[in-house]
Amino acid sequence: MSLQLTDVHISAGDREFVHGVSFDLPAGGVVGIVGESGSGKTLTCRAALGILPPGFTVSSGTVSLGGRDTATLSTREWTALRGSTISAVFQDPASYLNPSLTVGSQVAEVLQVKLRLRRRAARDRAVELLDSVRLPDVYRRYPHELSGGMLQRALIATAIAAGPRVLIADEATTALDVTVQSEILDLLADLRDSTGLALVVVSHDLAVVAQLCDEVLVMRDGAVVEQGPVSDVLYAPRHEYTRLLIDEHESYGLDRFLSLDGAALEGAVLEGAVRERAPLEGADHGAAR
Amino acid sequence: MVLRVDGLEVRYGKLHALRGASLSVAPGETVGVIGETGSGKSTLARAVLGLVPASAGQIVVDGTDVTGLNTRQWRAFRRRGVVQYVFQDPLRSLDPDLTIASSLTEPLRIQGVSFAEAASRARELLKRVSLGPELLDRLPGELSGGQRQRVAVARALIVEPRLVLLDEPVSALDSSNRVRVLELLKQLRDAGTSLLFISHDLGSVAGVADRVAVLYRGEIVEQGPVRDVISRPTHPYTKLLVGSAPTLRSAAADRAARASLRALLTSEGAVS
Ligand SMILES: Nc1ncnc2c1ncn2[C@@H]1O[C@H](COP(=O)(O)OP(=O)(O)O)[C@@H](O)[C@H]1O
Ligand SMILES: Nc1ncnc2c1ncn2[C@@H]1O[C@H](COP(=O)(O)OP(=O)(O)O)[C@@H](O)[C@H]1O
Ligand SMILES: [Mg+2]
Ligand SMILES: [Mg+2]
Repeated sequence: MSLQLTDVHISAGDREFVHGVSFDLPAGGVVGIVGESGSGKTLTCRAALGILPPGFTVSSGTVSLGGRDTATLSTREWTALRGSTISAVFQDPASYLNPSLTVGSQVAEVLQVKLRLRRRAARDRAVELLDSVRLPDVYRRYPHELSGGMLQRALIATAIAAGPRVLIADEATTALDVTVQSEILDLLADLRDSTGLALVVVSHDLAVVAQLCDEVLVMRDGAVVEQGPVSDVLYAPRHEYTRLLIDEHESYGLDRFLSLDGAALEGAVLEGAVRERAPLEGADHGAAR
Repeated sequence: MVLRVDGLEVRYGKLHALRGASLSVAPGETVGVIGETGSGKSTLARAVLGLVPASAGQIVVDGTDVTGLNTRQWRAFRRRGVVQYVFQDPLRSLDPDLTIASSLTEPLRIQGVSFAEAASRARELLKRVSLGPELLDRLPGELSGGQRQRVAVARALIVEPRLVLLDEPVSALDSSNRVRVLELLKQLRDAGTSLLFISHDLGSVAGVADRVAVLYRGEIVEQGPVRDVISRPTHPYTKLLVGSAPTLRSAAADRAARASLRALLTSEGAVS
């Protein structure tokens, strides 16, 4: 068991903001949390990371990491676990990087601190990590020289630097173009496949979550209104709010076109991709890792 | 044609933001322009509004070749109210210091419409965008984002323009407001107003537009009826865009297909 939340309530003073969240995330599993803004998604993530805002506490329920109840952890132990066991990326990657240091040196620093690597080893490993998120040649670049999608990939490299078992992506693709969003989501899926990394994917967009997750939680006003395997939630939604999210997609998503012409499209995309693939093996190499 | 853009080139110094873009909007037609950040969408809107000069090509709005107009001629042309616009941030389409009533009536007053008539038109328009007259005395800052954007649409419509340019009109809105504004745009389309609807979100455009043009790195790489472009995309960028769209029940493309499209686009980018 990588991460387990059992009936987690989150409060500040006498006001409760999150009214009981439970899920079990095994190694290589993906759980999705959807809900409109203010529904308690980020507070839930922060509880799992042990970084609730000042004044907020887990007022009842438990968060366990690798079988250990995190309530029993000292601050020092928490600091050691964060990064090396559980890690996260958020919506605004730029604000998590120091603008005056190169991207590579910031990844290397995490390695020096968390894994106690020597400078030289940290640098070599940082180069490898940046390669693994398809960012070759950015080690010496500064954050402002990178696009939003590149920054988010650099943040993912930093987040996975110390080999965590769980990565939380809280609205990590919300601010990005859809083609860049799919690149980040594909990268997360690749990491899960290649390293067994477990993922918590948070989005206000049900479809984003549906792409990647095994299980989905639908939150509203701090409560989980629906939870279950993605296919159940999508095909047999029980809660009115979930139905609303689905309806919205059906009137303004591409599903309408794709469900009618889906086969044709998939054919077109795949056929094109296969036809165009042959001469590209070389160019594709860096991404294959 | 209400709008005809032919071989439009726009440069910002060395940067070639539009490289020969051509597109047209027929009377009563809604054309979507879709493209990633930096592809030149807003530049296209600004060029049509005379806010950035074209370095080559031609823009004809409702029969008037606006490409060669000087500042004074542009001002006169704008006053006719043939083209109106709505931007992503309604605070850019609305003067933050003017009440909603003044913002709405200003374009009419410029045309010499009487105060009383302008005021009654303002009330009518607010109703059309499902807002109550109690908002008339408020400032834009006192409205929610969704209400502001509907006021911006009402303001654009009050002079009964031939063409409305909308640059990311729903991108800053939450989903319920997004749906309301999109519904409103559909009503406008159905009432015969021509719309040029610019967005980075294919889903929003697809629900409203008759045709869609795909802008990629300053070039229109593909255009056609919405259904054709989505179901049979031909350019690799369009394929990646459609194949990346988060869909609920139909997997648009798989990871491997997207990876090879990305590799293809990267290698093409490296060549040009
Ligand atoms: N640091 C904070 N201080 C005060 N209230 C907060 C703070 N963080 C979150 N909240 C409140 O908790 C609720 C849930 O917030 P959040 O978990 O951020 O929602 P979501 O991520 O779903 O948008 C909201 O009502 C929000 O106002
Ligand atoms: N005023 C400007 N000066 C210099 N470059 C600009 C200016 N406005 C836009 N650009 C550049 O032109 C390109 C197209 O921008 P824009 O039309 O805003 O794209 P979009 O609206 O599709 O995101 C981008 O590379 C952008 O950085
Ligand atoms: Mg949040
Ligand atoms: Mg723009």
